[in-house]
Amino acid sequence: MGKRFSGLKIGLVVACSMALAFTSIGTASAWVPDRPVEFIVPAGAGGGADVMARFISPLVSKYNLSPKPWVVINKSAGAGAEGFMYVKGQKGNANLIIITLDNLFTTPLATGVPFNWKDLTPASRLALDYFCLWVNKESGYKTAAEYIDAVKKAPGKFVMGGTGAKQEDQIITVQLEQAFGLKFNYVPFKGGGTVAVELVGKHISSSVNNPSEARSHWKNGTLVPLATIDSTRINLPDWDQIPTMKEATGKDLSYLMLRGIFLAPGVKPEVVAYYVDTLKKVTETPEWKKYIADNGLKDAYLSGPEFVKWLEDKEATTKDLMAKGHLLKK
Amino acid sequence: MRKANLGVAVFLFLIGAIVMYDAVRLGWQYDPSSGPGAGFLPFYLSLGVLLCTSVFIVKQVMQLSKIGIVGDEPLIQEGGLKPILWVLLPSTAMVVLVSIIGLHFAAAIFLLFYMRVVGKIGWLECILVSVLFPVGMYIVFDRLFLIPLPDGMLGNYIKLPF
Amino acid sequence: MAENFHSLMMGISVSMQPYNFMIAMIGLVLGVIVGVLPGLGGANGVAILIPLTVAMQPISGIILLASIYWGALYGGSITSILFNIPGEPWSVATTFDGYPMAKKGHAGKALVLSFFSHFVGAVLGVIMLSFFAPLIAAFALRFGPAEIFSVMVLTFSAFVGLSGKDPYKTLVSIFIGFILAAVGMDIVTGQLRMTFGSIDLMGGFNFIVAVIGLFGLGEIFLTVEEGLKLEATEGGRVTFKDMAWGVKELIIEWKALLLGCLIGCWMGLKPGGATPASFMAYGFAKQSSKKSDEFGHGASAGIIAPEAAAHGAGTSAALPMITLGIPGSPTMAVIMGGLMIFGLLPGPMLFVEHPDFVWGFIGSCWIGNFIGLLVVLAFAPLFAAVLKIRFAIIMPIIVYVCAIGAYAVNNRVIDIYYMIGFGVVGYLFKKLDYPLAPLVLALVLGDMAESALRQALLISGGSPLVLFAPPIALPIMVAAGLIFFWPTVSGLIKKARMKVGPG
Repeated sequence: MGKRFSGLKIGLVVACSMALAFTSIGTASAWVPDRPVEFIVPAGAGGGADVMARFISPLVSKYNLSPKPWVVINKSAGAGAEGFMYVKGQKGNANLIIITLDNLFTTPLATGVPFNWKDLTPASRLALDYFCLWVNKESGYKTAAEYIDAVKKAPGKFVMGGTGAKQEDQIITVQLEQAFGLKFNYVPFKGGGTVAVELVGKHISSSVNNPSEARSHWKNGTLVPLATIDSTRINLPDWDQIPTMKEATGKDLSYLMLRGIFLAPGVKPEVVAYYVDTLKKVTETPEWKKYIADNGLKDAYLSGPEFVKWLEDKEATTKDLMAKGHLLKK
Repeated sequence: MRKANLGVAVFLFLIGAIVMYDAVRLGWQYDPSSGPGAGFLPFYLSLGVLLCTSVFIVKQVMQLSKIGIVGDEPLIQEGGLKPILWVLLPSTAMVVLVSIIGLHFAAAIFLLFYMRVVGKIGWLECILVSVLFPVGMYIVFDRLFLIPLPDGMLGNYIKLPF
Repeated sequence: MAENFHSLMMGISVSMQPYNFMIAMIGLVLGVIVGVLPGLGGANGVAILIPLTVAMQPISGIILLASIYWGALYGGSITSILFNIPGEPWSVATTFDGYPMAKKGHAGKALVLSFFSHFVGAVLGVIMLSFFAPLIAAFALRFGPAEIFSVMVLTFSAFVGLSGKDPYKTLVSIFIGFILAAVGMDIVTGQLRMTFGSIDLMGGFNFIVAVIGLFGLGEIFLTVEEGLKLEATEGGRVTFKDMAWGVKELIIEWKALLLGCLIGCWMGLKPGGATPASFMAYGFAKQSSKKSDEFGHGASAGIIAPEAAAHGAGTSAALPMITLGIPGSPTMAVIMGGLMIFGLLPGPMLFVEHPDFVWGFIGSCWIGNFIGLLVVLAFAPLFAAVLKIRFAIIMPIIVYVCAIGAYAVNNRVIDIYYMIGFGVVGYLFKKLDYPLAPLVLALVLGDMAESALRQALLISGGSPLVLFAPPIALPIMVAAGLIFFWPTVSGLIKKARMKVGPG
């Protein structure tokens, strides 16, 4: 039995090295995926990261950017820790990428899971996601200043809905509370889309949804954005009507969320080069431009050392904000 | 049957105890301003399990000491254990093999083993099924539906042309 | 209404065009295949075909994706009936009576009955989708955490009151189910519960993995112990007589059918509603039936109610996606991703901005469900014939396919180990009379119920009164209470009557 198996193994090795030899003639020396690429999403189906991954993978096929398909796989357990730990454990696996959001920083900080973004190989930042302060139109609040004043008068009575606990929505809520000296009643829900619908149904008083999650309800006239939580306005038609936090309240608040791609640890430089290059091409397609505009994202492609530098800064800020809000794991 | 009943109850009691230990760590109190904490429900659930199983264990032990196991139906009927083990052990072996040689190869061995050794089915049929079926599954899942099934340590060697 | 009707006709005519019709056929057949294989669902089928649809017209693309979904809905109950292995979460309730019926040798009848009930449930769902979408969306919006919690309570009380022989064992089963559901991350506080530092436990226990083990493997152990080989009696055929019988049964059990349809269409409005709907419909059908002792031994109504509910809910799950932009099921989430590729943003504006598209989609629901029924009926003899294969061949194949299914749910090897473990537990519980159904119900609803409860309490600032808030939560809670105590009450009434009456 053992003998036959090793025979089979050798046969296979020979066969594939021959196959590899043949394929490599045509494609020069650049590395391309040689198996279907596992595209890990450390979040549930239907969320922002998931939709983006499911948007990118057919684009890659459409523009023939990869000889093998990119297969989206959700590993969302433990606020994404499952996905991160999985990629961390796949040292040197070139056919594996992971899309990340800010849970790249918040999950290990909040849960104590032994993981840091430095355990992965950064590829590129695709975009940044804005946050806005939303209320139901029927609540009657026209400006952020009005709403903030009302919250100040009744501490703990206004319900702020958000995605998950100790993640970006709660961090922003804490930022708001500390900047204006007020107290929200923060209630976590499972996903951003749900939060927006809870707000439409008036079960909560406000939310800090990403533009894409609430866009349709805004156009429909049920939700209103009071302010963009960034120092500059969103540079897209319609969205540029929303004032920044500073314009609306006088206090400058900013929080942007990462939409980036990482690779497994210990992959070869030519592998990194392939993904950086391919993702760059993805962000240059007309479909991507439309996607960015539709979803109110900030087109902010970045890779290489600048990206690493940005990650380091972002990690420090996140840690600082979470420490201030007592959201770190004790 | 009574012994098995007792055994399962003790097992569930232990689960309850573990859960309660963790629930206490998480904080099981009911906070009047924000409702139950993370450990609140697990605490009461485990309390329920502990209460129910301990009542049950006491009843069983009393019964056992009174009338013993005489006249009790066995858990597994006579001659039933062997066929169960013939299913359980090979399938467990298959699962263990998954991480070594991959799901499809492990399943092929499992199919061949069960059909030939337990089912006493003719060699030709055995080999046909245990080769063709995994190949079919490979094509359907790994190729058509792009669900990469675990390939164990062989992963980097298998590159079928289709 | 008239305008809707006009748009609908336009939509149907679009989906009847030869090319789109052919696309729908392909999608349906593929959907049935992914639905039959446990662990593989509509979500997988849709995900792999999205790249293909990029090159198509948006309307053809969505017809293809939706057809896979309809096909998968039909396919899900086939393995529940034949092998006691639910292909999808919402076909668990079908195993309670579908499998016993098949075991008696009436697999063909059980399949036909499930397909017909599916069809009726779906038609009602599609009617709602076509004519009342905005109205229903407005109603769905009124369901906050407290209202969702009350629905969970109603599901439980409809179902649990009836299953136990030994109350201790029933209670323990429920507790264990809830405990298994709680393993993993707590959404409300972000703390890890009962994981003890293990990454594997962080993912918790998946419902499908648990039911494949508890029901499927557990049943295999029971079968081999008894030395029975799954007999190949007349189960191998599906005749026109069976179909006529199916129609007759539907008419006789019209109450169960109606109950299933209504519960299904109502519950489908909220995400994840199909599974509780099927359980609730089963519970209600059993309680309201005069022949409630037959349930669990192959009662027709025990197949009709949950199947109609599951498919009704599956159809109305499209509603929250189209009208509110939140996916009602994982498959809908993937379809939503597909919409974005066509440059369409799901949500309340979809009806306004792209009416042709929405109505084409709704039209394809009509066509898809009609053809879907024909497709599965044509396949039914093939499925039933699987039972004719010798046990020593089919059994290891079932274990193999179950292992694939358990793995494919979350792409985790540990789940295959869990499956085997649950198999042993399933066998022991069945032997020792611990009821399994309350356990799986607690497992599937536990998470949702707990977070809804805690969100409601957070919003109210800790006051439990919010759980009984009028106008929605209160009546549902009252109904739940009535249904829970109904067996006791009706027993008392009967006793009283016996005393008074002539006897």
